[in-house]
Amino acid sequence: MTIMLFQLPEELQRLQSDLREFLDREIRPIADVRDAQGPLSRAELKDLFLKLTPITQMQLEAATKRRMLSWMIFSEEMARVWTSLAVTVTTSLGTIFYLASRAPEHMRARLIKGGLEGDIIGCDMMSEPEAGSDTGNLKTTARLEGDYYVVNGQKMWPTNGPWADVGILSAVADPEAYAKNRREGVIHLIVEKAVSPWQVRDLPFIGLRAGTTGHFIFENCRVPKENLIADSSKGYSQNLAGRGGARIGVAAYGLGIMQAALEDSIDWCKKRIAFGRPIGGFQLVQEMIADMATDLECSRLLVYLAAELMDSGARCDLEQNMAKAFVTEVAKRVTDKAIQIHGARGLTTQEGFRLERYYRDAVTGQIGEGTIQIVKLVMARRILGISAVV
Amino acid sequence: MQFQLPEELQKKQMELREFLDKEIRPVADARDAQGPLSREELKDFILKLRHMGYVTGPTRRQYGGLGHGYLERVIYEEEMARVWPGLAATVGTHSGVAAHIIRSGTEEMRARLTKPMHDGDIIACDMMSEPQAGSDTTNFRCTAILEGDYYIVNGQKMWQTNGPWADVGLLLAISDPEAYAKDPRQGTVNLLVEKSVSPWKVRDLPLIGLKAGMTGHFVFENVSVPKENLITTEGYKENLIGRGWARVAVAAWGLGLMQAALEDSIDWCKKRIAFGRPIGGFQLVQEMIADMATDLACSRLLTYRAAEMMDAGIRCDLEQNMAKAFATEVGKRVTDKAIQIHGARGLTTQEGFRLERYYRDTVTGQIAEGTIQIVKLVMGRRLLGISAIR
Amino acid sequence: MDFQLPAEVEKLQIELRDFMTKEIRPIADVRDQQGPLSKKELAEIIQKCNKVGYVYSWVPAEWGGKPRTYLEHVIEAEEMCRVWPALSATVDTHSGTLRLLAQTAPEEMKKRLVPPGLVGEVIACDMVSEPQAGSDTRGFRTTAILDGDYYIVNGEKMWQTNGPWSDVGVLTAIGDPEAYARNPREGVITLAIERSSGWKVRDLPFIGLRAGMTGHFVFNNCKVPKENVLRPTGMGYQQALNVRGWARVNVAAQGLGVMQAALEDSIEWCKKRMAFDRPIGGFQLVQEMIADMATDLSCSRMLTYRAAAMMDAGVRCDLEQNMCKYFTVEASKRVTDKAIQIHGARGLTTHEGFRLERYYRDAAVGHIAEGTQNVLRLVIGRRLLGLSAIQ
Repeated sequence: MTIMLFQLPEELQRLQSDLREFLDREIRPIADVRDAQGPLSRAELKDLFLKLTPITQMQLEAATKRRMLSWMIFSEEMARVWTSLAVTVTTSLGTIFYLASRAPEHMRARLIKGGLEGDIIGCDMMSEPEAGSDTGNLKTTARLEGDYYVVNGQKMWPTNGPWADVGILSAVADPEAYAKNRREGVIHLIVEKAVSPWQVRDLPFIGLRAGTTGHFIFENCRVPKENLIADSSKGYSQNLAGRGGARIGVAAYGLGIMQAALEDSIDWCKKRIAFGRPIGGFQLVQEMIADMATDLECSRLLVYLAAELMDSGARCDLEQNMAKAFVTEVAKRVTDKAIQIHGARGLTTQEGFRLERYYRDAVTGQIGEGTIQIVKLVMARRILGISAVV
Repeated sequence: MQFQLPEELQKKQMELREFLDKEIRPVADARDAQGPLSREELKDFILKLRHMGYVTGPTRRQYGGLGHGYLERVIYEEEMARVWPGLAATVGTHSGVAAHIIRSGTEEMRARLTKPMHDGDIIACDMMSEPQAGSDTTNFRCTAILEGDYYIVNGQKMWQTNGPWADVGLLLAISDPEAYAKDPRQGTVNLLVEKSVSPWKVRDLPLIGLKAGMTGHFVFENVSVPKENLITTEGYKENLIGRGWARVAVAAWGLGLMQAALEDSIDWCKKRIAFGRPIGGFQLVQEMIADMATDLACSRLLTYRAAEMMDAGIRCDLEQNMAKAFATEVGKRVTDKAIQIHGARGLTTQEGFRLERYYRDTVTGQIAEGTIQIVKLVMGRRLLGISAIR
Repeated sequence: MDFQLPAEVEKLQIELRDFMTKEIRPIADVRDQQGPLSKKELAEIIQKCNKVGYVYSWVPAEWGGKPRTYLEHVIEAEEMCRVWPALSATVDTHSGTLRLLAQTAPEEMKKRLVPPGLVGEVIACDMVSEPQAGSDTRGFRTTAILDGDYYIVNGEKMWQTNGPWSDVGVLTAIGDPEAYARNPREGVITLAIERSSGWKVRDLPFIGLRAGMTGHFVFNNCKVPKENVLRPTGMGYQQALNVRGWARVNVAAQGLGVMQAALEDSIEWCKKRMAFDRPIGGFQLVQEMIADMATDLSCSRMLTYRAAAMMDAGVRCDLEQNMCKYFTVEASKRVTDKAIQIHGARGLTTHEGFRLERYYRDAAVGHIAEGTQNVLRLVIGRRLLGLSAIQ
């Protein structure tokens, strides 16, 4: 199938406009008021999940034909009106769907239903205090003892952490093997708080204020051995396989933020008068708008290309990484220009202007799912066949 | 890196690349620095390239050409620019103007000129810019006043690719000074001018790059052009037809240049040893490679998309402008990084290294067919509905 | 802290600029693209520039020199490079090397070479880089092994400014291969080597600095009298380092000259060129470019003058030297690029009296010479962090 993405397939165009209309009407008004107040409560979160039901259903349907591409559109449109909620919802659903396909039979239906209705929140537990970029430095262990894995260690920075009812936990099952080769000795477990209680606290960020980020402590936490979803030989590459989708997912949020920033800016350019005319009539402002639009277009094309390749089953780690690195880098300058165009109103947290929120939300993307430096090193390793990651 | 071109086009691209690497690249590397091709050399190349679909590609099938689509033409231009931008600009311009004359001209012109232009016996060029009118197309001065059976042409045209070789040109001139003064979209004509019938003076304007090519400065003093040579009285509109494709062509040449610069750099990264290892193993170098690949990918996506929209007959002036502005802007930093990666070998004009030539050749693209500033202002006008051009 | 140039230095700058604009610029604009100067042309032009103190400013008084401060040397380089970068690279390299010879060469050689060197009849060059060793100075292979009364030199040197013209060079080579293999700061020797030693040399033409020459030397059992040692084995590394410090500031100073010229030409064109019924300088986008060019130049200037002032004060300033070259190179790319854009097609043309494309090409050489940007990043980073990421 030849896909050149200057135009989304018709059904996805429809999906996009349906999503946008719904979100503008139902979610945007809430977002603009609520985001600054801090993390949602569980009750608010559940309410929002239920509210979103029509569009999550739309997306699920579209996903039967174009899984990743429809997921990108969904993520972008949500991020356009409430990035924080987009991150929360897509991370939770993404994790839960991933788990559901690999979990023990008896869990699957429960997970999916709970996930869609906001009763079960999912999160990915990978990074640790000593292991962000350096995934060879995991310290959390999972020791098989009889019918349980006993987990000890910490996880830091997982999105949704404090809310999480269920998660994918990466842990070292065979420290000796892991020490010799970081691709060995790592397993993935489904962990459920109700079954294997843990401690967790929130780590507030510069952006994504309505969301939460967890710092977990596991002390002799017992996880049923049936919860193993990837063993030592597959753990590493399974982890990688998941990361690809997550990586361009982060890029999709960036698209939404930039789209919103550009729309608001174009609006303001026509409305705001200075020196006797709309500021959109000044060359310096026009240049900024032209550059913002270009950055957004390149970003979109890269993300859609990666998503399309994923949907067609082609290897596309290079394209995924490229999209992620590029989008998160340019989102900073797009949201910066949006602030500049708005002058002081670009800085204010009130008055109905959202620019400073875009700026703060954009910054997170350059770290989550891989710093720009790491992502570029992985890209170059693929292009050159030489690793400079270590 | 995958771009999902239609399969036949991918195949064609590989054929072109193989042919050009074998037949043209060795000549280019030796010949380019020596200066403009002679007429004989140019004709030889035209005939050689014609076998692969150059020269006749842009001409419609009904007129004896191959009727290439725009995406196909982009691929052709990109592959040629990868081995010899100087020749790409020359042959590309000739072919494009020839196709334009053939399409818009009279039956008589077609009968007389098609074969010689396709054979390289008659070279074509555009005649639009003037010494005082580059960006400011409201400021033309060259006139073509109808007197009896002839248009009398007075004025100058400057910066025209292929000028000094040209036997025929597509001249944009003012036929009705009053009308033009009132509205610069009125009062201009497009004439076919032929040197053998209406002799003119022309000299070469050597440029920093594209050394094998020539750029004409024409002076017309009471030059008589038969009234049968009128192509259209809607000079402004006719000229615009050429401009849209020309912008995409400039972007396409940028793609070829960046592709070559990246290939040479990847090669050198693996080959060149410093501090006991290939320089591709250093993080700073890896970042450069990753950024070059990303710049090229974005440029490619924007350019392919514009071409696709042209093929689909969808309005895409914004996308054409965006591709041109972006590809020419990033072309500079890609070729700059390529030099840096090669150290002093990146500066040398000999020793088999081409980097300094890429650096020089890429610079023209940011001016030809619209400075980056003008292109961005045209984009801004489209995005905002407000003009800041004057 | 005084941000003004001292009065006498300002005076010197005006004098040099007047001279260069009147006497050298007309030659440069015509001659540069024709290719390398002949030795005769070079000598003539150097003698012209002697009148305002060039070359003599580098040599001790006992040789008739009139030494200037490093800050003044920066001004010299800036003003000459403003009109002819190729000449600036040539003269700066020659002068700096001549000083080294005047200070450390054997008496007989000094007497023989310094006086003609002052007037450009003898040309000097540095010999450091090799085909396989640019950034990686641990990778030298050229040896100078003592055999009786002579050092026997074998190997190659590449990318040396002035190479093909040179009568004498300051050669950095391995005097003690074992020591060098153990520690690249050991075992290195510096020798004065003359053409009579029998080297072969060829030119390596560049994208810019067209009137200049860059040498690729091959030494095949070349004999150098043992008296020609400038720094004995073991001291050569430090010697090379000392030279590099000034060399980097020198390249930065040359960058200032190119940017100054590019900015001047652009400001003029902004006022002269009409489009849309007004001077293009009246458009916001153009104004932004001019503002950015001037700011880039200003910052570059401050950093470069500061490094030179610290050198004059005898204060350690390797960080400042590296930084000024690093920043100025990045700035010069932006400035020369914007200068082309402001001029439209005239910015690309090699004729018509426009110099913009030449600035763009000439500036490019400085991007690599005396340390690539990446190497500078790592050297600066090492200094700031105390951690090396060079290898």
